[in-house]
This record gives sequence, C-alpha cells and structure tokens, in this order.
Amino acid sequence: MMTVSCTIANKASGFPNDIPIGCCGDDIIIIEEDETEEDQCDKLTNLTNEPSNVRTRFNQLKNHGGDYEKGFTIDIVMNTAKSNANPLEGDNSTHNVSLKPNYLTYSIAHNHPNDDDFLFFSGEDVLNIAPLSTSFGGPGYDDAATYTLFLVAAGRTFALTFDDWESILELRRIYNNSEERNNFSSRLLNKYQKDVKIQQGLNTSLLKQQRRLYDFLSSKNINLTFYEAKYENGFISGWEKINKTTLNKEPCN
Amino acid sequence: MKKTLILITIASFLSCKAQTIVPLYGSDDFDDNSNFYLKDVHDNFNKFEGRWKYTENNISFTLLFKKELKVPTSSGLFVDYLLGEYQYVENGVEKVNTLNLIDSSSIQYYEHLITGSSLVDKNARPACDTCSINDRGVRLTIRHPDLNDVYSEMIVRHFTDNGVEKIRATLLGGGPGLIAPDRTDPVTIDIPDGEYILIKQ
Repeated sequence: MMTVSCTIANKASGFPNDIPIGCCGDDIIIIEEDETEEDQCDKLTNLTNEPSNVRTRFNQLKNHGGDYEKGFTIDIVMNTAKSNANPLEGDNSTHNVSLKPNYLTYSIAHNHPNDDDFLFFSGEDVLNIAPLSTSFGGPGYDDAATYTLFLVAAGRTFALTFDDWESILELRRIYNNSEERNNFSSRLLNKYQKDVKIQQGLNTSLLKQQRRLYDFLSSKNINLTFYEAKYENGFISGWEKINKTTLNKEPCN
Repeated sequence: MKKTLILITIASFLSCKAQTIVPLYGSDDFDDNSNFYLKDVHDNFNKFEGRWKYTENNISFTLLFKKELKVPTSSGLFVDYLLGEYQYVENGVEKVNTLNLIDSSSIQYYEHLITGSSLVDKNARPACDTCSINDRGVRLTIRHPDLNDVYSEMIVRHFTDNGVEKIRATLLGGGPGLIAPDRTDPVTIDIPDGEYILIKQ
C-alpha cells in the first residue's frame, strides 16, 4: 500500500491548513479543530508578521497614493508553513485592479483610492471570494477560515473573513447567476447611499458602510467577520476584531 | 354562491400586501422581496433615453438607452432599470454592434450589454464640479458581448452644451476582478477606460 506523508501544520502559524494536498485514504487521520475567533486573529497577526513579505506588501499598498487601485495576491508556499505575497499589480490605465491568483492563492488585498464611492468593501470585492475559493487547490480549500479578503481604504486596513462554508457557497451561487451577480453590487450601493443626503450635507462613512454591509449580507444568510489592522511605524503590528453589533474594535486576545 | 363570493373577496384582501415604493437614490430601507419597488421617482433615467454618439480619434462609440419600469427581479424585488446596447468602431473596424437588440423580446433585462439601476450624485466618482446638487448620474455596467465576466463600470452624466444635449460617459474598468492564470479570453472590453463625450442623435 502506498502511504502518503502528511504534515498537519500548526493552525496558529498563519498557514491555511486542514487537509493537505494528496492526503486521502483509510490510513490518514484528519484532525479537525474548531476554528475560534482567536485562531483567526492569530492567523492574521502571524500572516502579517515577519519573516513573511506580506507585511512589506501591506506597507507598499498603504503608501500607494494614486487615484487608481492596486492590489496583490497571497499564496501559500507548498510544504511549508509560510505565505508569499506577490508584487503589487495595477496601474493608471484603469481605475479598478484585476488580480491574477493561481491555485496556491488563498487571500487577496487591494486598496480603494480616497475618491472612491466605496469606502469599505464593494459588492464586487465580496464576490471575489467565489472564484478565489474555486481556484485555490491548497490545504484547507474547503474551509471558510482559509480565505481572507483585505482592503486598504481611508488609510486603514481591514480584513474580511467568512464564518462558515455555507456563506461561501451562497456567494458562489450568486456569482454564477448572471442576474443575481449584477444586482448584488447595485443593491449594496443602494444601501450605502441611504446614508447620503447631499441636500442636508450628510454623507456615508466607513462606519456606516460597515453596518450596511453586515446587515446586507446577513439578510442573505452570509456570515462574515471584519478585522482592522493596528499599525506601528507604518507596518501592521496586529489585528482587532470589529464587533458585529457595536462596530467597536475589540482586542483579539 | 354568495357565500363563496364573499369568501373569495375576503381571501383576496388578506393575500394583498401593500407594495412600498422606495426611491432609487437616497432610498429608505428595503428588503430584497416583492413587497418593495425601487423606483426612479424623479425620472432621472428619462434624459438618458435615446441614441448618443462619440466620434473622435478614429473611434466611433454609440450608446442606445431605454428605461424599463418595474422590472421583476429573481429575488422578487421590483426595480426600474436603464438598459442599453452599444456599437464600437475603431479605425473603421466594427468591434461590437448590438444596437438592434435594444427592443428584443428574446433577451432578459440583465442580458442587455448595458444595465444599471443606481443613481449617483455630483460627488460620486468621478466627481462633477459643474453639476447641481440635484443632478443625478447613472452608474452602469457595460459588458463584453460574448464574455459575461468581462465588463467595465460606466458612469454617465447628462449636460447641455450651447443648447446641445450631451452625456459624459466615464469608463472605470472592472471585471473580472480575478483572472485565472490559464485564461486565454480577453479580460477587458474593447473600449479603453476614460472619458467620452457623446452627442444626442
């Protein structure tokens, strides 16, 4: 009988593991752990710590001051517990950046310029989880906790994670339906615009859009959690969870 | 018989639910179901209806818009839409022309190459300094004729220049947001991003 050597990486390593590639058969024991909020926080912190180059890429993205988007993809490094952030993509030939993930890409990051209507994630941003989770072929490919969408906006850095696999499946369903896909972003924009009362000088805000996005996706049975990065000397030093009810930032530990 | 009629009448009343009309812009809250109708209450779409043309730098770009009212969507929600088709000619080569599909009954509303149901104010990107506080542009999606995931965001704003009706169409790029490494299909529509001034025909 052929045996497969499997390495279960440490969850706190920042490596999106669970089911290593090539692990199958009766002689393989898959150890399942409950994903806790602390795990997600630890993952984010470990991911953006040295020696990974993710931290450097976030610094570059935050310092990008153009009126067009830039972004980068984050891959796992196979057979290690490391991640690799690819160079920033995006140029002034188009406002919206398109990223090129490969089958090892499990997270993506991009920025919204300061003049963007979307201070927070747009509908298209959230829907990117559908192709990302479909193309990723690494360990943990069917674990919602594997995938993270990052956004740099208004000088702040946010992470969006999905609470359960059903939420990702629902987003895939919407993504694959031409009508629903088109309407998803428009309806979210309608929600964001509810806070804009130009005659009264009232405008939307990052906080208001967070509330709208939570509520909009909850109504579609899509459960997610937001985090915000803490910075020291221009580099990410840790993450805080955003409370779904109060929108206050809470320490991870 | 009389009793039956009364029962039917009562049942009809009970099954009726009032539909709430919600303005497309600055809307009150709505749920994604048939109890709500997202309506262009100030007829902002009307001024965009018709044919518009840009001709410059060996490029001919024609937009054809129509307003469609109270479109039932898959969620049940009713929505007013601005729908359109386009023709794009570059250096004498016609790359896209779907203008004849504008009134086609064989395609669904979301299959038109241009669709939109979002109004934007003067501050929305790209900001419009010359617009008044009540001017509304339309945020649209303009798609590749063959590839559903290839599109660009397009903001159109209406204005009058020396008595001539014009629209400013700004293409901002768009999808696909993620491009598969083995993809051979185009990832952008044929029309380059940028600003186009089109004249009413």
